[in-house]
Amino acid sequence: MMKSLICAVLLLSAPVLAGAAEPCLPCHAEKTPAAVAQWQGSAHAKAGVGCEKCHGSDHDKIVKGEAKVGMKVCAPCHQKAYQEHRASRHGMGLHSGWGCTRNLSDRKPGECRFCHEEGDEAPRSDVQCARFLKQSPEMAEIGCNYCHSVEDACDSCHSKHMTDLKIVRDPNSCAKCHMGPDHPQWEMWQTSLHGTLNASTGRKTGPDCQTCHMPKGTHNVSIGITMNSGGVPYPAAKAQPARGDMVNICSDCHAPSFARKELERGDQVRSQSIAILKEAEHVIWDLNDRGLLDPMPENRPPHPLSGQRLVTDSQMLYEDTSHIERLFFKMKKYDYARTVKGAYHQNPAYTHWYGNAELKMDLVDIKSEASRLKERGKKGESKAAAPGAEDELKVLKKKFERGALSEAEYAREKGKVLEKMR
Amino acid sequence: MKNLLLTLCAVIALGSLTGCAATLPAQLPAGFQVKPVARSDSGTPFDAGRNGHFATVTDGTVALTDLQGKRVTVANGGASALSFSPGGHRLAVALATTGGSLLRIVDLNGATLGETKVAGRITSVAWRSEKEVLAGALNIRKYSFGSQMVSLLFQWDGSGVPVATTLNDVTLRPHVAKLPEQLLYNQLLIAVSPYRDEIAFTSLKDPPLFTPYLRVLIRNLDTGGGSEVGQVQLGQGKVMYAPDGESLVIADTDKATRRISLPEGKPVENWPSAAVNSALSPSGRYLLLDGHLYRKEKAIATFPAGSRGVFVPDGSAIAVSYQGQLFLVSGLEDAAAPAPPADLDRVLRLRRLRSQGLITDQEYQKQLEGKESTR
Repeated sequence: MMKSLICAVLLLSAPVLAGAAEPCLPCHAEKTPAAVAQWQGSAHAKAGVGCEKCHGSDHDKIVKGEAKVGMKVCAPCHQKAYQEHRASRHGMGLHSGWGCTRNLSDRKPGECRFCHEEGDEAPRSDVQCARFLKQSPEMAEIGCNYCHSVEDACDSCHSKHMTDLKIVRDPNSCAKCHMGPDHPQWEMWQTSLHGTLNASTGRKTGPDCQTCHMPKGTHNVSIGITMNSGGVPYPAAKAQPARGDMVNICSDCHAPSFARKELERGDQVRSQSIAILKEAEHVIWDLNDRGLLDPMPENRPPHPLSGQRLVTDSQMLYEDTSHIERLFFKMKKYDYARTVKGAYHQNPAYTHWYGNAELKMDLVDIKSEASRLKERGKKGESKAAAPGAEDELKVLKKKFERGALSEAEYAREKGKVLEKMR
Repeated sequence: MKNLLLTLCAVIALGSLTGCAATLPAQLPAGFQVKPVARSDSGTPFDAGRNGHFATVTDGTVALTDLQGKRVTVANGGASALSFSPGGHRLAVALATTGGSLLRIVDLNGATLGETKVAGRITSVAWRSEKEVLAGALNIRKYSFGSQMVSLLFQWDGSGVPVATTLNDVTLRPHVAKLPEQLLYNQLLIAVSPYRDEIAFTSLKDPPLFTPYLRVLIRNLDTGGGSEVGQVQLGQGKVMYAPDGESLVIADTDKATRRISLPEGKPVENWPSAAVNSALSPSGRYLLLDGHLYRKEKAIATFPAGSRGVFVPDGSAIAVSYQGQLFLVSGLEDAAAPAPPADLDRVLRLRRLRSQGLITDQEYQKQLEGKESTR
């Protein structure tokens, strides 16, 4: 009965709608009936916004996939949402996902269009992602850009032809990207008190992603967040106003003092977790200074952005690296993120068992692996000659460059090595 | 008188038959003698060997000619670079082929000792030792938004596959990529340090909002370490090591040349001639710049415009190519290159450390001085 009613309404309204979508409808009602039906049920159709308004009229271009409905197409009518989106980290999504692929083997020429327009002398973005650069075109498309294209694609959350706000108000629409080992916000929300209340009593009692991160329907999803997407805390000047925003959001349900205390506990967990991370990172840099990583950066494929150097910052890789760095990658990208984000999402199991416990066990593994590498290094030394001046100077230079030696200490230590050379 | 007229007639007749310049119209000081030694097509590479051999390109053929006029054909087809080995027993020849270049090593009889294919167009060849030859090659790939120019260094021992290293990778704007070849390919002219551990070369930089220029770079062949030591205009891509191995002769402006100290790139000597068709004698006493022959800082001879020269390795003469003919201008009071220091190993070790930034130049100098003071 309901289906018949919908069909009748669609048929009755068809002449009005067709006016907005001429001359596409006759063919597309047959070729892509689902797209047509979705559009017919949308606010766009009701407002007389037809196919050409978004897709243009160059059919050949559309067929070739060269008339993508990017954010600039939506922006003229949805200025407020566009500006809010641009100000948020969603507006940086593509920047963090792409990099120049021209030097990689077996690339598809069409890829260039993601960054360059015809006649461009320089790419439109100079931000690069090392992990993206290691992927095949296919893997990069599904594994990176399906999420990072959010920068320039409203349909990343809103779907292509439907405008029903139910879609984007459902936390499941966030889950497409905000799940998995590195940032399981969806899972940790679902199994937190907020999430379980939401499931049992609805969003008025149990807030969801949109309640806290898109308050009052804003498209700036970064409101109230005090660290970057890699978990590095913002400086106080940026963090304090953000904290005020989040306390205001929480205060819709909680006493502000309670909300602040809860969030500050998260800050403490974050500081403690960073200290554990730093300890592990120091172990790895020390091994690198001594030339004990296996393999050393100079003996493996160069890092796409930094070349043959050790990288443990946000551009670190999980492939073409040493075992101990791979352990650190897991520690930083998975376990640190789960601990900290679990704490801010009030999820005890994610904070402790999926996060903090793993983080501490990672440190045990990393120290153990470092001991093994040092032991092996000692055995190597006994067979070969003692490390030469060049090796000693390299260790000193690396220590100086990463701030482990002051300029005066570096000069003094170097002087000792040079003295021995005479 | 009769003999003189006969000689003159013979010279005129020979010149008109071959299309070559029979004489070198140069202003030379007393004591210099000029003698034609081989034919050499205009604009093509040539070199003079230690054993009185000259390598030239004649009518599109690479040939070796000795002082007695005996000529041996080495390769058919034009060469983009020629270089005798330090001992003068071998010649490296870079030949253009479809889709790349051919690098060939021949002996003085023209017999091929080794041959390998190289990707890109070879712009220069130089010898690191009697066995190892270096070649610089440029590879250009065209895209709609510009061209990618990759500079490659090939190190080859005459057998097996050459070891390739990328020296530079630059995106050229479309209008830069369309520049004349004599400008665009006048770079990556590799000079080997007298210590044989380091090379100097130029490579193109095309900044989006500025005029393209050439960076002068040095690179230690063992460590890969090095630095940029200067910048020169496009078209002035040749760099030459001074015999001390601690300075380079490079272009200054379009009408001047400078010698800069390494590694900091500070100017230490200047000449008021463009760094065009330049050559430096083995001891560093003579310098040829844009047809002007300098002895120290004083111009002592002038060769005709368009002439190019290369000094004979023992410093006794300069071979000058002019209008299809190679002339040997002798009478120079130069000497062979200085002998390497007695503690060469130690100096090489220090240079190796410096190239990697493990010691500063001041520390390098102090170490050398310290050694000298203990002698």
